[in-house]
Amino acid sequence: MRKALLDTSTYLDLRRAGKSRRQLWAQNTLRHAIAYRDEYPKLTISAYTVFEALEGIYRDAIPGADEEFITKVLPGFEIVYPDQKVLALGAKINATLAVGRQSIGIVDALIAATAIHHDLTLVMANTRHFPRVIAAGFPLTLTNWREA
Amino acid sequence: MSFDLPASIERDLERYAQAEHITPAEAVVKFVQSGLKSNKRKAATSQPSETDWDKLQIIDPGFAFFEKMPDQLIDTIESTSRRIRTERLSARA
Repeated sequence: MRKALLDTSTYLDLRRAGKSRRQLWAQNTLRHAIAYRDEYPKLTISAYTVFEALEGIYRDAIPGADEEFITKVLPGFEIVYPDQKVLALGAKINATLAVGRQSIGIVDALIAATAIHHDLTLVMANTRHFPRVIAAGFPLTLTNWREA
Repeated sequence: MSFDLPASIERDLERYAQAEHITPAEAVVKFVQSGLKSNKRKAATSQPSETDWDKLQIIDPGFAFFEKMPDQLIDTIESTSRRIRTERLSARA
């Protein structure tokens, strides 16, 4: 199994799986997560997922939640931050898709670039956007843990 | 690979091969493939055990944190993520 980058949608699926045990997507997500953690010690997420989670926490304004999330939750993940090469590849993906009128947005372009640059399989539940990156000729590998 | 099949199964396979107009070897392959597919389907549909679900606590570093947060926080993070990803930058004046 290749090392994976969990997109926000898949991490949220993992969060919700325990309360949706009868749903096939939840069972599949759990199975994949267990199999993955048997091989890799930490789940890998991108800085963009961290940003989205923190923005959600700030929007709900729960006292102390931001600090606890940063100091107690984030160290449990491997977090991939963008560097110059990721930004350049993200810009190239964004430009290529925009020219072809297939834009997926800056954040998704950067997440795809992060996965490609670090040789990670992107685990996502957004099946509409990311396949466009592959269709445009970029070597992105996708998987959806909702599926068996 | 070669296998010794019980005589009764061998007879059934020969009858099946004749009925389907295929060789006995092809009949064996069909049966094996069908058995493997069925096993795969069974594995895919079997439900995770309680122990498996308990593993979420270990797999997810945010488990304890989110358990004590209001349920709506996950919805807020999801809507935030969706909004961020559909935002378009507009040109400055």
